[in-house]
Amino acid sequence: MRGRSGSKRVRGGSAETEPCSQPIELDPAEIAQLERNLALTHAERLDQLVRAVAFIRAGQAELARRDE
Amino acid sequence: MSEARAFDPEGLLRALQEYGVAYVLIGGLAASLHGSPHVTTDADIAPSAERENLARLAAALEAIDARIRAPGVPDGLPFDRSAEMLSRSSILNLTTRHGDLDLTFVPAGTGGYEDLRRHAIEITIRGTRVVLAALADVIRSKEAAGREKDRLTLPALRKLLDEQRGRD
Repeated sequence: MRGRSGSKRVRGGSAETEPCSQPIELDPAEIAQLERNLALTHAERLDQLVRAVAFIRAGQAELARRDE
Repeated sequence: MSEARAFDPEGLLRALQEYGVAYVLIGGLAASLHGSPHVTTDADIAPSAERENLARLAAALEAIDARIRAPGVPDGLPFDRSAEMLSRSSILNLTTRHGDLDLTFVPAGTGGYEDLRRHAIEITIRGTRVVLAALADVIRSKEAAGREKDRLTLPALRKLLDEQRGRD
């Protein structure tokens, strides 16, 4: 399903790396994901991130406990 | 888009656990758990392609109302969620009631589930069992995928791996 046909090119970059002047290719599944995230209200988007980050932090804490 | 399909990694992975699906978590969420600063809003898994596991995966996908992710279709497109169909698939980009889920049976640069399982880490996060790909395997698959978005995250992941190895 993930393919290059029908992909679109957008400009992108990362706060951590140098700005990216090259277009980034997105496949249809990624475009769909972006569309759905954009359709969320600001509060819904924040809720989604908060939920994801809470899970990630709990996982990181568990991994840190294993390393001790 | 309905809030019901917003990303909830805990709900997603708990559903896989409830149906006994054998998988390894890879991609951006796995990288985040290892300490990557990039936060993702989907989960990527490499499921076992064993026949019994595909039946369990099919049941889990049914339970979480998995649909094919497609531009212009916020709730996704319905598809045949049978084990038979899964056995003929290599990659499925899905949206579910717990958010987006990508299934890749043989992620780039890896030999699939059995290969990734060898060095995977089993952890329990808030009561949910997660089989997490080793950071080196996450890096290996992102390097092989060679997508721009992966290339941007690789420097941070390699640094994390160096730090991990320095602690061992």
